[in-house]
Amino acid sequence: MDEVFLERTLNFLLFWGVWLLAPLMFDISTAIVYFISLFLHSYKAQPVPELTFYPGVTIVVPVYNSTGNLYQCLRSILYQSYPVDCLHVICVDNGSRDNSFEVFQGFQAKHQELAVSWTKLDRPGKSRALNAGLYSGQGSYLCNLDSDTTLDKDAIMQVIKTFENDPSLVAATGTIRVDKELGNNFGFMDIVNYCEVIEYLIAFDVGRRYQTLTNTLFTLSGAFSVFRRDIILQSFMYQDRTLAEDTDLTFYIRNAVKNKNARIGSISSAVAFVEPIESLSRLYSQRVRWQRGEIEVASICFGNIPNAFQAVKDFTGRILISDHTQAFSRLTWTFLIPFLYFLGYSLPLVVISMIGLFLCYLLLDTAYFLVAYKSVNKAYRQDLKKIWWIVFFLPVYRYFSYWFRMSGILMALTELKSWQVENPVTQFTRALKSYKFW
Amino acid sequence: MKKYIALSGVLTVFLLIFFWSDISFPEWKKPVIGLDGGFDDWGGKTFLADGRGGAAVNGDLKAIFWGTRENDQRLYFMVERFSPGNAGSKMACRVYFDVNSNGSYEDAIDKYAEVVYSPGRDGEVEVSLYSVAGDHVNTYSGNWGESVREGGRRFELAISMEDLNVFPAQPVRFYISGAGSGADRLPDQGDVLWMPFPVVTKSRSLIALGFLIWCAAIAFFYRHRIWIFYYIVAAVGFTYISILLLRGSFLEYQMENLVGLLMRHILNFMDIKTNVFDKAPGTILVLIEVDRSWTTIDIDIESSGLLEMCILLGLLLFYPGYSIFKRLLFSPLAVFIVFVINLMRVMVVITIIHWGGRDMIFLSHTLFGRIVFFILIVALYWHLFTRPTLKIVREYVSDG
Repeated sequence: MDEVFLERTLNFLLFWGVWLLAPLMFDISTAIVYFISLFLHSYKAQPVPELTFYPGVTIVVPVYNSTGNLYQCLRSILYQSYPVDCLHVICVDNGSRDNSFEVFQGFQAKHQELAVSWTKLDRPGKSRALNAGLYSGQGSYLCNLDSDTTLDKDAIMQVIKTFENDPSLVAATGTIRVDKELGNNFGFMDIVNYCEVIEYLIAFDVGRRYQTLTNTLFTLSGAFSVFRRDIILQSFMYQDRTLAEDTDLTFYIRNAVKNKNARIGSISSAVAFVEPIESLSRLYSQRVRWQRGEIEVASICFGNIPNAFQAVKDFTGRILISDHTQAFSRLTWTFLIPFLYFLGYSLPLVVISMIGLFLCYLLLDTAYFLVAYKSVNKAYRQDLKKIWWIVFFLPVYRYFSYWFRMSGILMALTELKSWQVENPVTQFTRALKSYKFW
Repeated sequence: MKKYIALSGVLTVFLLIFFWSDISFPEWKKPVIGLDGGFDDWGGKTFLADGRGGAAVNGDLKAIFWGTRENDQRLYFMVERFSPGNAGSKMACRVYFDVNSNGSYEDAIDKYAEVVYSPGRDGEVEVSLYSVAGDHVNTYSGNWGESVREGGRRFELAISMEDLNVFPAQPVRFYISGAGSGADRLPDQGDVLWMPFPVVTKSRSLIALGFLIWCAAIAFFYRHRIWIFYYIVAAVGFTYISILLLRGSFLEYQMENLVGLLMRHILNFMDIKTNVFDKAPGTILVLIEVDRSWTTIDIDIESSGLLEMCILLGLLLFYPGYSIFKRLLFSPLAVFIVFVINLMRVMVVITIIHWGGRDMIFLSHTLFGRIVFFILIVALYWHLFTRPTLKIVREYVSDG
């Protein structure tokens, strides 16, 4: 009986679960390609030689109501292992209404050894702020750094070493980690933040590393990226036509240098830290923005929008198939599998199949986690060990993330562009309250 | 206000048609099998027939029919034997079940049903179910009716799926055999592969109520621009409601028949021998080249493409970025393409079974067929959703 039940469950899972399993297979095969290439590459990787000359680096920090974080950000620049006299920081204020300027003044008065200047724009917009900073920058390299981001002490050194050693590299993103103390707190948002930590770890230490090897980097992170100055000044720089100005710029640079044997990559040894997300609403808003930005950039990156078979051959097409096309069938099937109970399938069968699906995703996330874990240094591994159990939450986190992104897909067609969006639960309660009977 | 009145009017008309159609078109429903002595209900069911001779007079099998009944988790059979006039002689036969469908009837899970029919007593039938080891599982008996028609005598019986350990849509194999050595057997060689999937229906009033709540929820979310909830409720709700309405309906039946008939003609061109039952064309008989035996493929709501059509229509009709014109243009096109893609899938499944044999049934149906279907459907979704979306977004991004 048990044997037949299990066999039957497996058949059910394979047959009806195909719409959820097939995207998973897509993810697993991508993961296998990642793992193999990263494994092979780890043998080939050569140590980068030390610098004999320190080129000038301009760091542009766009500032918008950054009282809370700006000081930490500037301090992390000050304590770089890279010679401080080769660094120049430009803070570009794009409409702050708080005490950011006072924070800047306080820092400048205390640390005159670091060259920091302040520029104020009369109009808001992160892209404008970045462009203004980039235009005024000096030196061979331009770096943009978000004001809520702090740099690891070797970040700039590692970046410049990599650039100097690889003339084909024209732009690179640093590795972004979530600055969260691991394993001490177990509140709801702590769990979400731990998931975020692992998500970033996988995205940068597995995903972006693979994209670097194949020269298919999708986004130079807006939080911390470095460019050769001559290259970025040839581009249209940051534009605000989409919600993902960093991805937009990445695509622009890639197209501009397509035939010049140039590469865009990620530097895993250059680490920057961002604050963990404060609430689910913020996470929702962020994911909606990312997904919408992705569609917006993809829509303009193609000369002609490809058909399905051309799309499979192109890396942007493949990302869209995974994030957009498959999102639709996944939406219905997520609800249809439990519904099969009403069509006559036995309840235990349906429930066990759902558990089976969860286990498949758990397996995938565990594999990613392990590979990312292997690629980080010993100290960080010790920290990660404290939250090994988070792998059980990753499929759930991934699932919610999927719904947030689905919302982004819909809003790309229905709502005007906006950096912050209201979450659907708040929208729902507000809508209910608008009726008199409530 | 006018808008609301118009909307309520449309809903009322819909509901009236919905209930009226059930009363006015009883022929739209499939006949329901019952153990009642009436045999017309077997008209649309699959069966296997055998020639006269090959066994003792009272055990000479003429045909076996099999089927399921709405909202009933039992397997129904109708057995017909020759010698209609021989009323006094009892008939004993066994139906053997290969529950795990692995080709062997000797596994611990496999079972057989001992059937004893006593003619002339208003169809007295006793069915005892045993495991292969001979352990008694259950006995069902009753006066389930009988009928004599030209050249044969018929009776019907039912066996609980739960007692058999058969879940809905699980593939099982069976054959029927007379008692004793040299007894008649149907089919003469091999067995019948069957995936019994009894239709489960919900009451019409419940569906109507669900429909009204669904309409209200859609209107609410749309009005307040809560797009993610709107789309989930609209698309998934549409799929649920249409499946509940279509399951076991005239349309499903016709669709299955159409796929069956088209498949037969297409495969004929490819020199793959198939047959469809005149009265149940939703079932395709496929000749297996390996051992020259036959197997059946049932075209159901899933393999007729109807389920996928419901899903796709739900997603398409309520996709918020498209104009009404675009939705109306895309919908029939999408339905047609899904139909063609599904034909290709069934063709792949049958071709593999034809050349690869009985053992390939699971692999071809669950894996290869689904993979072909999946790839083509993803390509279709790209053209129906992703590509047009990119075009729309591109316009507004370029315009700033």
